[in-house]
Amino acid sequence: MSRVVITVMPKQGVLDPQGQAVQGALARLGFSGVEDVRIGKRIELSVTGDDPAATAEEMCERLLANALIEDYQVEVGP
Amino acid sequence: VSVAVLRFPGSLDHESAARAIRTAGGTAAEVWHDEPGLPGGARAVVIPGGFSWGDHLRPGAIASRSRVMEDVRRHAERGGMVLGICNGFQVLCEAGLLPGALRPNATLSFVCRQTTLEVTDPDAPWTRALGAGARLSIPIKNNSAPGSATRQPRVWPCATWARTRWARWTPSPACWTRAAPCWG
Repeated sequence: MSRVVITVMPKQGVLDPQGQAVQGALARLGFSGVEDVRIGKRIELSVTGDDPAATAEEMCERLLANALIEDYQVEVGP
Repeated sequence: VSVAVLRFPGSLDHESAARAIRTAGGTAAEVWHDEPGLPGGARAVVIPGGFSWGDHLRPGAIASRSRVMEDVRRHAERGGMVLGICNGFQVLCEAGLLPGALRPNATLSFVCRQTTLEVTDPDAPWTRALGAGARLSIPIKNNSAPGSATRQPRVWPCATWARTRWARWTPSPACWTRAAPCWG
C-alpha cells in the first residue's frame, strides 16, 4: 500500500477568482504584504500496485486534473 | 425523431428536456449514465442541466467519463447531433467534444439572469429554423463558465454565443429547451 498525494493547481496565468477573493479578505483583516494567493486541491489516495506514481499520473491525465487549466504534482510516500 | 436524454446522479432538467422534445414532435428516451450505449435509432442526444455528481471535482468532469459518454462520443464523431444544456454543456467541454474549460466565475457569484442569445450560425442543425440574427431570451445560471477556447469545436451545441455583454464571460446557456422547436 502506498500513500499518494496529488496537488492540483490552476495554471499560472489562469484567473483564480477564489485566490483573489481570499487575498482581498486577508488584506481586510490587516495582513499586508500578501502579493498573491492561489488556491488548488490536495487529493490523498492509498493505492496498491507496482507503480503507484505511474498510476497516479494516469489518474491525473484521465480525470483528476483538466490539462487546459490545471497543473498537477504527484508525490508518493512510503 | 427519437432523441436520447442522458441522466446522471444530480441531473435536474431531464424531464424538461423530454417535454421540450415531445412538444417539438419527437420522442424522448431517457438513458441512465451507466448504460452501455445509446438506444438504437436515437438521432440526437440531449445532455440536460443540473449538478451531475454534485459538481464534485469539476462541473461535468465525472459525468464526462461515464460509460454512456463513450457512445455519445462515437455518435458525435459520426456527425450525430448533440445538445448540451447548462451542466450538459459543461459535460461536453470536459469530454473534449467542445473546446475550452470551465472556471469559477470571476466574480465568485452564482450567475442567474435572463440573457439574449443571437443566432450567428443559421446553418447549424439546432438553429436552422431560426434564421441568422434571431434572438432568443435564455436564462443562464451557473457558478462556472467556459474560460478558454483553445481549439475549434468538433460539435457545437446550438446557436453560437450571444453578442451580449454578459455572454462574453458566461456564455453557458442554462436552458436551451426554448429552442426546441428548431429540432423539427
